[in-house]
Amino acid sequence: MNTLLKVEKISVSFDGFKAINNLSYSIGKNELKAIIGPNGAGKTTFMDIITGQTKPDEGKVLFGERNVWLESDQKYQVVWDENLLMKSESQIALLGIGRKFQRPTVFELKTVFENLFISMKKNRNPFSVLFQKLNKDEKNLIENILDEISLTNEQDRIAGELSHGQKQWLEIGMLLTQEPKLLLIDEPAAGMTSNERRQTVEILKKLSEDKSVIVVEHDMEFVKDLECEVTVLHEGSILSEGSIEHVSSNNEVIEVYLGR
Amino acid sequence: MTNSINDLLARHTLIFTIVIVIFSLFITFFSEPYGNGLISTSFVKTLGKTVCLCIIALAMDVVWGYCGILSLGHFAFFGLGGYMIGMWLMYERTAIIVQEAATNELLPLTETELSNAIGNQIFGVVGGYDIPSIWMFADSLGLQLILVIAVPGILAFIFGWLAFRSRVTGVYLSILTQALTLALSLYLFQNDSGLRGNNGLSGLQNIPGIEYLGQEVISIGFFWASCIFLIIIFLIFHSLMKSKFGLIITSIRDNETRVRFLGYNVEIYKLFIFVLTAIISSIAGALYYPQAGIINPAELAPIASIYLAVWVAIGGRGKLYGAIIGAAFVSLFSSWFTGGQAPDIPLGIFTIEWVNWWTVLLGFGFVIITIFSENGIIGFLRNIFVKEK
Repeated sequence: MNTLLKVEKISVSFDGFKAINNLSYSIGKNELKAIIGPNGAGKTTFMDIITGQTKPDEGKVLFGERNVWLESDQKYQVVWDENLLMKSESQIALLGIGRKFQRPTVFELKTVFENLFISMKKNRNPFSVLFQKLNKDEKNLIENILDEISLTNEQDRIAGELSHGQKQWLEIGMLLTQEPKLLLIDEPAAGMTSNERRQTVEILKKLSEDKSVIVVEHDMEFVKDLECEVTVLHEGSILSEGSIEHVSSNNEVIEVYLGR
Repeated sequence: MTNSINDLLARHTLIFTIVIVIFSLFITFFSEPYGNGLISTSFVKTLGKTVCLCIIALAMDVVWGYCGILSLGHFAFFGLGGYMIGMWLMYERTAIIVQEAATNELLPLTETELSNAIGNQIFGVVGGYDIPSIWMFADSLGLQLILVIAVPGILAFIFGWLAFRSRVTGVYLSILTQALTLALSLYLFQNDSGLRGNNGLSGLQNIPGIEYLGQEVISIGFFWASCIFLIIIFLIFHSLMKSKFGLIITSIRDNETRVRFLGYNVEIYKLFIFVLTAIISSIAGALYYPQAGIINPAELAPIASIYLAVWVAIGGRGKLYGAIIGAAFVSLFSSWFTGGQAPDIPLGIFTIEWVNWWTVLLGFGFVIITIFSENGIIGFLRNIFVKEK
């Protein structure tokens, strides 16, 4: 399986505080992974680095692994399509990395439908956008996504009127219309009812059928339901990696989570 | 395509176009040359100027109300447009006068003599007769019209590119735009700026070539030109803001980071809007100053751009007709109060003279309106007439 995203030995510090310390991480195509950790473990900073909002002091962030056949050496060589450290936020988003923020971040004054329309994968050049109209296929695509995030009946409502959980889904829906390759999802279950949580787990599992998904959470129970590989972050580096049973039996993890 | 035509014929724009056309016809039929003269030529000019102010208010509303950039520099672009057209008006008219005067001479004037005579007429007041090199296109209406678009366009492009690229936003950007305006105004105040220093350009109401028509007719012409341009700009902005492009612009205002993470290059969008509105402001200025007759650097002072923001805030930002109502309402009241028509209020020991007290009234009005109605006059009207669902 080819690796989609590879983070190599990144470190970043803010005013002497090491938010990320020599962290390496990778995720394959169509893989679902979770990152957990207590507050201040560096989860959000980690996402900021991948999406280009924060530049690390050192390390590499590579995207899109390919094997290229080298005639001269008669063997495959690994090449990476993109070095994310050279790109701006919007360029990284265009490469196919979508991000859901910790607090639901949708356009509150616009309707649910408009929110999805803006997010749609299309030419983002202003001169091209001037003449873009919604065609039938795109309308169908948006309707499919509305169905997937259970907001079909709310499509003409102003996004600001939605419940907290519905906003979370709308934001996931906005990521889907972007047709990304990798989704970074920050605390999707925060503030959700148990019913909404169950539905969110289903949505995320379904997404990982044809996309890579990294879910950041600090709720162990929710991560357990995702049934995926878990990485525990603590003070900017990886404490433990493996199945949820494996990491939750790790003494250091128990101490970090319960010891305070 | 049918969609965009439908958009164009949407209720708002149709009503707006009809209102402006009826208004223009009404004014024309009561004007001096085409009607019973109930409306004086000077009042026609005031109305024409007000229409130009409505156009720049539209531009301000798009850049501030829709895109969220509180620019305190758009009146500088307005002034630049005035200067660009003023250079042609002044040069061409002076050239005609000089040539007419020379017909009595025995020998025809040489090229240099002609140029010196024109230079002396225009620049004598700042002590010189050399025509500065920035006047090199002043004898061509076409080139000066191109400059009306190019000069503010390029200035806005360079300024916007530097500011947006460095992610300067909010109040810091406002301060930068104000600094730009102040710098431009101070530069123009200098005699060696080549634009006659604090004298500015004058006699702009005399349009070379059609002076024989008289001010009564010319004023109606400019009034109509301003109204037509207002309608065109309204239609363009309306359909632009209704489109997907408009959705993205207002999204940038509401949550810039989100738009960026959706893959849009926010800086390019802001730059597009900044340059477009700067150019439209400049064209509005080029229509305004031939009606005003004079332009000087004081017109470009930062306070003018702040007034512009006040008009839009009073009218109601984020709605195009809000900007128009605000600009028309405040600037007409302003000329009524400061023109000496408003009756002074004697308070025994003290008399309120509106010429001086108008700004105080405006300040109070601004505070009261923004406290009681966040969306200005139209927000207030909507609260009364439009029932909440």
